[in-house]
Amino acid sequence: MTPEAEVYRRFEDRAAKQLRKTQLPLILGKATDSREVRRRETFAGFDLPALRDAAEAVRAHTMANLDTYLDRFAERAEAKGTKVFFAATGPEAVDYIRKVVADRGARLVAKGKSMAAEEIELNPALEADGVQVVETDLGEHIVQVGHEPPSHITAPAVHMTRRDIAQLLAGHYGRTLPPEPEALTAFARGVLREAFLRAEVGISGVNFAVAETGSLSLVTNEGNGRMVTSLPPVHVAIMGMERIVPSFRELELLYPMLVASAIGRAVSTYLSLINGPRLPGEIDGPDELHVVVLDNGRSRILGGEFRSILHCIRCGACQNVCPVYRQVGGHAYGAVYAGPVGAVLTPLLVGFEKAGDLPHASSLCGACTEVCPVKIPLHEHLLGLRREVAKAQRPTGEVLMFRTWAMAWRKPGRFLLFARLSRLGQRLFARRGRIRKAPFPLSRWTKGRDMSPVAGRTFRERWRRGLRKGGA
Amino acid sequence: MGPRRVSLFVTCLVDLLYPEVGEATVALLRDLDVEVDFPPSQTCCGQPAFNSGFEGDARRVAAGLLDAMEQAEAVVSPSGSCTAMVRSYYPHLFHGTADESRARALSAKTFELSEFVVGELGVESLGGAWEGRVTYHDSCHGLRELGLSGQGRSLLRGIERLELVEMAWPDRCCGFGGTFSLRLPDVASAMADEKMAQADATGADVMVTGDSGCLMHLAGRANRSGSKARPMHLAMLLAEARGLAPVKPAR
Amino acid sequence: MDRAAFLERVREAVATVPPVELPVAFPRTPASGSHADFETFRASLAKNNGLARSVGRTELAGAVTEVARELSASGRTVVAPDVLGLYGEEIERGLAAAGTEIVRPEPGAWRDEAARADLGVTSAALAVASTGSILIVPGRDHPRVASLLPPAHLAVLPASLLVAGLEDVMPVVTAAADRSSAPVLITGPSRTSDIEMTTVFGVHGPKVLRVLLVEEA
Repeated sequence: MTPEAEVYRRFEDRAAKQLRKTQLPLILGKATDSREVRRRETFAGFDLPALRDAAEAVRAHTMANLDTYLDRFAERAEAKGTKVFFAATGPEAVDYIRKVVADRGARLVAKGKSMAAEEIELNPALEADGVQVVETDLGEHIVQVGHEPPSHITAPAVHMTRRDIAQLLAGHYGRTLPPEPEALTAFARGVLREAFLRAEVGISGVNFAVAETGSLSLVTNEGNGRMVTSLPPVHVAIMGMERIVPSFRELELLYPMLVASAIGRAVSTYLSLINGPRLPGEIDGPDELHVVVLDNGRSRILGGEFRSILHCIRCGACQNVCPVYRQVGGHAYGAVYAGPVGAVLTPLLVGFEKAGDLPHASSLCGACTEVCPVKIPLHEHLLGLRREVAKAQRPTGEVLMFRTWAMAWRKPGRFLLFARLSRLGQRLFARRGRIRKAPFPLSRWTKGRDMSPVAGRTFRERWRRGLRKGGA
Repeated sequence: MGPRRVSLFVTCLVDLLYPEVGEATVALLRDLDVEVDFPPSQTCCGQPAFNSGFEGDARRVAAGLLDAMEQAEAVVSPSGSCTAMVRSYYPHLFHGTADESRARALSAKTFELSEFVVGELGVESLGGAWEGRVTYHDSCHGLRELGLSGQGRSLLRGIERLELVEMAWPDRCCGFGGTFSLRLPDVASAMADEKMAQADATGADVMVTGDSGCLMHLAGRANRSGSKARPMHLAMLLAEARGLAPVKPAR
Repeated sequence: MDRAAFLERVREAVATVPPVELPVAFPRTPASGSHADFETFRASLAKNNGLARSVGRTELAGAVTEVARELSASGRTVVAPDVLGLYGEEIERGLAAAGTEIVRPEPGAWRDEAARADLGVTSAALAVASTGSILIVPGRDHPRVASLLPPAHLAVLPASLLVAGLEDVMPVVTAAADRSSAPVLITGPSRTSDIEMTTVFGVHGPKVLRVLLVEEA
């Protein structure tokens, strides 16, 4: 969970903070809408249902044989001189990477985007060792300077305006900077180039590891992925253990599915295919390549009902269509993974005590399930998780409320009694056919909306009075 | 040709808060020569508890619906989300219980109003006339669980002098989501505001929806935010256009 | 955790997972190919803000001159040894006519020289018509930095290496896995839209990409 989530423990409170930023849904809405429009355009004319079926099958097959593929990957990678480390937990992964960095005597690490690295809280650990970590993905760099977590899987700084960004970078670097994307980008290119050239260690994520050849693939648009994995003498790649494909052939399908779903293009600017450290005779490339394969709770998920969440290829399409996400942004989720995928994955990774309210941060509209390129039934998982959270936590108020409700509503006589009692009680609150202030818990409704009172005659009463015979 | 006898599943929200929607539904069906009965032991489909993760409580109430509709030839409901609960979730809810086959049977014979009229009765237009500009809100469960989209629009297009316009994102959730609207009321209201803004941007006089939950949420919010477009249930508008309008209580 | 123990946990977890067949064929994707023709390649690359030209061998030097005049007029150009092996005469003549200084670094000096250069010239192993991509396969005669550090990148390759779509690339990538540590599929210049979703080119990688497909006589 993010530092903010330690202070504001409930989604509702974090969301309230974000809702006060009245500009946020406008910026976010524009960004996510344009991505969704582009996604639809890119897939127009293709058999999208068949593509999704195939992509789902590739992921499901891979998960069903994950041990085989991970074993093959490690064997083939090690044969090329790559060092593969299997980390059962986040701290294990962090300690391994700290050691690699320390063994090198590195003081500066250049880092490409990695959700897995965020998940294990790598940066603070390295910084505590006195190592400077520079995020090189432009959006990640911006939020790093701003000391915030990223707010969207593929657009980390989407919640900030150009003015926000100019002010932020100007303040940090002690320069005046115009609030223009071109100028800001050119400035960033200069300062980050320094980091690439001086860093002793480059750290990256992995989009898909390739089992057949022991390779890694990295999908980027900026070029920092290439920089970070080519210039420093040591490259460390971190991957969630589920981020793997059987062979390069499966990338034919998953690579365009990922890019089209994420940003509405057929391919990204760069698809880096890393087969190992520098080969004898090659002019450049890192001397050492380390791949850290992370479990951190994934094997537990793999063995359970929600295993298909591991099919996720991190495209962010679900975030782009989520009607809740567009109102509150990524930070409201208080975790590395936000939006629908985050609302499913986070409680499964960090537990219900910290994140049990995330599955309720959804109206279950199903838009996420509709766009997921690998057909994860996201909204079904959210519903299933609500069930598991209710079982685990047995929240007294709700348990009592639903028990009472079930008793009252399972018999028509009691239901009618409920209607009559409500009609009586609401006389205190109904004015001119509407209720503007209701008692708790309905006050939560009337805070922002009028409520309809129970009708003078319910439908069933009207039916008995003559509707049955075809009259009104 | 579909069945000519249906049992009405009126739904708890319509029964308690919007009985005129139930009356309009009955009037429309009778006008199409369909016999309508109302099994009086029905109460609710169980969705409120189900969506909060309380399957046991949901099942207890849902079992009442299985009993009520046992003899029905076909069940018609003026609610996409309640119909979706029965069609998409009852098999899961009753899986492994003695009621499983009854649940599947009910699931197979339950329809939302517009899909019944267009799909089962084969009626794509009810005719009639209604003056004004209308936009159609795709309620989430109706759209994504039942595939409702063309049916309601077809019926609206069949009405003379009615101008049907589309919002920029007609299928975006309005923010009701059942208990969601109580758990996260501020987020829900923000979602409603965006929806009403899109409706107003079309210049629509009315925003039609097939779900009373959406209606309750959007109308309740519109009253506060002063939106121009008036949320209205599909059944009400269709009935008005055909001159079958029931008497509405003053609001 | 050691590999065996880690995989044992995974094995236990997947024991209850029903088997799923890996599809043998995939439906057409937005990156799938139809025709390996130059016009398709040119248009696809143009959509991604890169420029491609098809030239005969005798026109090659002139085409190189044009590119170098635009991008490295009184600057420095680094050239990967492998492309010199293919088209050395034309490239050197073309660059010289543009007035750019041709830099041939020693292996250890490649990074610094590429960082100071205005233009990098390399070969490419494939061009992909449907997407407008080129496959760069670094190796003993081809440093990674040549297509990465200079602000402009010119790739020169035989037109016979044009393929239809992404499905034609993966077998080549698989075959190259043992002889190159880092092939890269490049589609246009470096770009970002991290600031207010506005597209800007030349974030970290080259800002300009030019491709010359050379028709043999």
